[in-house]
Amino acid sequence: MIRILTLTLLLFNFFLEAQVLCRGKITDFETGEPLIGALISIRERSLGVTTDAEGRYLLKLEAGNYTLQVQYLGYASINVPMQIKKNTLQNFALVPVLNELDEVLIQDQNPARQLKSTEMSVAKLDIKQINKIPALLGEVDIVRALQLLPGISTMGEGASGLNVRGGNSDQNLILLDDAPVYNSSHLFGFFSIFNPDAVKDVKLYKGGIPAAYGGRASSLIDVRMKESSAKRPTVNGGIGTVFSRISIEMPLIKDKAGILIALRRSYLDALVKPFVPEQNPLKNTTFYFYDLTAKAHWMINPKNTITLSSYIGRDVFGASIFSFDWGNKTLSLRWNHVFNSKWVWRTTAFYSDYNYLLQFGRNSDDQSFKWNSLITNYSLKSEVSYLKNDSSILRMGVQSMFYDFLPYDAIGNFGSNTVSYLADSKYGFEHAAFISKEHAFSGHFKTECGLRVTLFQYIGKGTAYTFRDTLPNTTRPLDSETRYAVGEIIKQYIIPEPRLSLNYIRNDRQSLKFSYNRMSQFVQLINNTASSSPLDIYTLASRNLKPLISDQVALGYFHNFRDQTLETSLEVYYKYFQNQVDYIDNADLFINPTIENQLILGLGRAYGIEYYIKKNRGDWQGWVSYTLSRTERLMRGISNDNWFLSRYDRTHMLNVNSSYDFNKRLSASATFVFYSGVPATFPNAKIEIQNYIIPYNTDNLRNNYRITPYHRLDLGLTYHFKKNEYRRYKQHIVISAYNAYNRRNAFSIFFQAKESNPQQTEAIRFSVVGSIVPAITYNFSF
Amino acid sequence: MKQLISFLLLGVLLACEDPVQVKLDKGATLLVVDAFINNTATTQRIRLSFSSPFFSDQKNTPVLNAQVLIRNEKTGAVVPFIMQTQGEYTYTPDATQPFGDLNALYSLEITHNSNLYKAQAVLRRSAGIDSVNFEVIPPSFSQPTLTTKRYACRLWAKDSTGLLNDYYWIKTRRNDTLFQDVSDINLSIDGTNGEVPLAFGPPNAFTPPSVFLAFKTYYPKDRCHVEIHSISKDCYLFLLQARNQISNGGLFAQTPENVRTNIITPKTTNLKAVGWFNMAAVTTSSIQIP
Repeated sequence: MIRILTLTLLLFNFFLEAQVLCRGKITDFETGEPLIGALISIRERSLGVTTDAEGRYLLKLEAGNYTLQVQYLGYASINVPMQIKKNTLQNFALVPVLNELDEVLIQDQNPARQLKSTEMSVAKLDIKQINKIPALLGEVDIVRALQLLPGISTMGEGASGLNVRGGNSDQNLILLDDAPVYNSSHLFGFFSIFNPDAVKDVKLYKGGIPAAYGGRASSLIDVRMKESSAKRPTVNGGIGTVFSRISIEMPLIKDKAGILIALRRSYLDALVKPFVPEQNPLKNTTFYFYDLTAKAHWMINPKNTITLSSYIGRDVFGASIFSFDWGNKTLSLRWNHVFNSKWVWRTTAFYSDYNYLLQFGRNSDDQSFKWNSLITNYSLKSEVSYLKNDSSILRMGVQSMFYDFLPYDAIGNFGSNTVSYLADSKYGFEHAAFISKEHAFSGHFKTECGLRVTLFQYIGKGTAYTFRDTLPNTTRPLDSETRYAVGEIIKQYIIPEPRLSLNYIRNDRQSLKFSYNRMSQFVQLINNTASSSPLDIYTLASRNLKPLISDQVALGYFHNFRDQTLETSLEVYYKYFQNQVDYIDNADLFINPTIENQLILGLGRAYGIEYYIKKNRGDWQGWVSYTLSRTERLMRGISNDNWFLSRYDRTHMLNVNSSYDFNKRLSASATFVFYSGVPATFPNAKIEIQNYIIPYNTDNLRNNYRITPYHRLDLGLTYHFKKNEYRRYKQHIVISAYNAYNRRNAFSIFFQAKESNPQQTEAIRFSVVGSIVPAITYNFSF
Repeated sequence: MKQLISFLLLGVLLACEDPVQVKLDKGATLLVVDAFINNTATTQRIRLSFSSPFFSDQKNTPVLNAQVLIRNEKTGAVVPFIMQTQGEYTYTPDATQPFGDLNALYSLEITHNSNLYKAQAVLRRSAGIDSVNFEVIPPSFSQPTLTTKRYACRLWAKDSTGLLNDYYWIKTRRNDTLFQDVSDINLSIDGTNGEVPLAFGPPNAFTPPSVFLAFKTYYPKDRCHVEIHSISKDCYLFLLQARNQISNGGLFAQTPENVRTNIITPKTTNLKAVGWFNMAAVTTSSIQIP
């Protein structure tokens, strides 16, 4: 019945007559960069659309006289009376109003639109919002800002990555202008690789992930780079405690092409050096990172736009006896083609690589060791959008991705003896086709149905291993090996992934949403330590390592109060994982060709309630988020074959973030977080063997305790210097205190024998940030 | 490597470690068997104890009145171990060297409260040691101004040929004192063919498959004594696991796990046994620093 109704409605829409199209692009007046998610509404009718990732919009109307209203956060809204008789092209440029507080709309997107879209479990942060949060060492960071949103946690300072609704950190698809990033952190997780000067916005999907995306089980983090200014050269920069940054934007062809280049370099090692004693072998440690983010765009004509984005970053860490460096490189080329007012075609080609090099001694030395590992990824994605009318959008496309993983290539030189360990490279193809349709049935009901079908092929040249079954939680003995030639398929998987979002819009203020999505993941990070290190490697799904599959349902109630200035949401979710990876006891993950028999595949489940309230206008702004959740695993041979808490489980998570503008120039901000301690396995007995005291857990339970709760207060103060009206030079200073009340939050608690008396054992709290961290940063732009 | 990163973070950044109070359950009691036997003509010891609550400041309670014996399964010869001190069962071999039967299977049998606990081990070959030598540690290394000369020792050993993988535990003494730090659990697979280098770098950075010897600093008149004990592959994994569990902190700590055991607990009892039984062939060498 519903199908017939849909069809009827579709046909009805199709034959509507006398409709004209109004389309165009919304840009920043000063810089000329496109504004994503700007709202264009027709005042005479309750009709509105938002701009896409290129700042474009499309309205379908009956011919007539209208008033178009254009709104975007941080920009002055405009109202334009227009006579629309035929198909019209109308671009708008909005003027930023950062310092004119009364008019500023600091909100991630129009709250009413948020309420009406089918999107749920989505967090979008605008860079201007992120800039307001007091930051560690005074440096604004996108990933750290995302941690303040509901359902998102981390293992603590120094842990790279995010855990979204109970997922591992490798279950997030992190895209930087469409190219996946494998290690999103610098300095072992203290900072993310995303330079805030080069980022336009970031959107995190915890659920209801669009069919156009796949390949990771828990979330999509879509980071969009800023497009360069098209009007005049601009320089932005900052001098901070940890690093300095500079970015340059300049036009190449007036109003048509431009480039943005942003650079960062840290100098923590140089700052620390004077405090390291002369005798300390760490005296000459180098420890820094740099990154370069660049984006160029060229609008060939109104129908064709090309953008090229790239990121190159590296962390370098070394002393006299060793060196260790790692980094990502991405390159993505996108071509946007507008066929006509209804059909838009977008094609993206990208390349991404992650590699590291570890070296002890130099090649010329008596003894040396050199080890490197490399991940390379190539992909081509093509998709079309068909805007049938205001209430129906069809998107479909295909994507092919090629993986080339080199797990390790090591050479050890021990005196006269040279030992070489070279793993087979692993190759795989991930092909996907997707289709989705967004449709509004009436003013009250909206759906988005999608399907993504993924074909994964693990291909040769390579070796497939067959292992014999044995006791759970022990190494399965190798039974046989089969060699495969170049291009031969070793194993393939086809996984259909349905996606569904429903929205019942009660009125302008209330809506109820539901979503279901299935996600599959073919590359997994192999790591059994508390925090992932740059040395951890990804591995491809194979005969033994089956792809990770997650199914998630979520239900949310959204309510905006006080003329849309207060947004609230309440979401419940349940997520189920198949083929979740865990590790056998004593797993040997280091230079091991048969790493697959060190893994256990089991089940996982995560469920919780997330509450979010946000005030998005006025001198005083901020949000509170609270999450009550549980994350569990079930693995054969672990914890007596019972469900046990995952190490990402946090029962309570509370985030409070607020900012207050005293006047146009001075503002203050504060963040408070409280998280339940993460589960941990503690011993309850000690055994003595060969005079060594070994901890032992006689109940054989995994994660049977929790470490102490984590809480922290951060404070920040921003002062904008008086602007010279005749000059473009702007400057502001940020003073911040991270961990303001000087708490030693435990990252982990471990147990050992006391040094003074080895018979006596003790518990040790390991804190990554053990004190208050004050910082000052000077920022400028001209 | 991960420990090294943690260490550097500790030094360079803001990290800190401090003791805290944690309340732990009192776990069940276990029978702990510590039976590392070797083929030298010295007194062989098997220690039996009960596990104690983790924070107990007492030594583990000794197990009294157990009957302990080792049987050579090839010859059928039985060697009884007699309790000498609290929980320590010993046997002093005579010239006949009862534990010198290479590749023979030995069984350990412990009878406690009429329950028979068993374990088995094969006596494997050890590596041949050529010599130990010493060299002066250059003053510039870490302590540039030092008046006394300091020495590092270097072990020259050769792994036995053949396709069989050999597993070793290399123990070192300065004078009569055995190095007993966690980092002194020096394990090796097949050693390296020829010289086993001394390490100024991180100890055991790449075990397996090659090993650096974490020799300590020696001073004039010191004696350096090295022993290579052959161990089974399972024993190697047990020691590796024990080493990880004894000190498992920092940013890259692994999920704690219980160490494995090769002691079989009979179905007739609830008293579970843990621990290890290994038969080792030992080769030794030493050098006196002038």
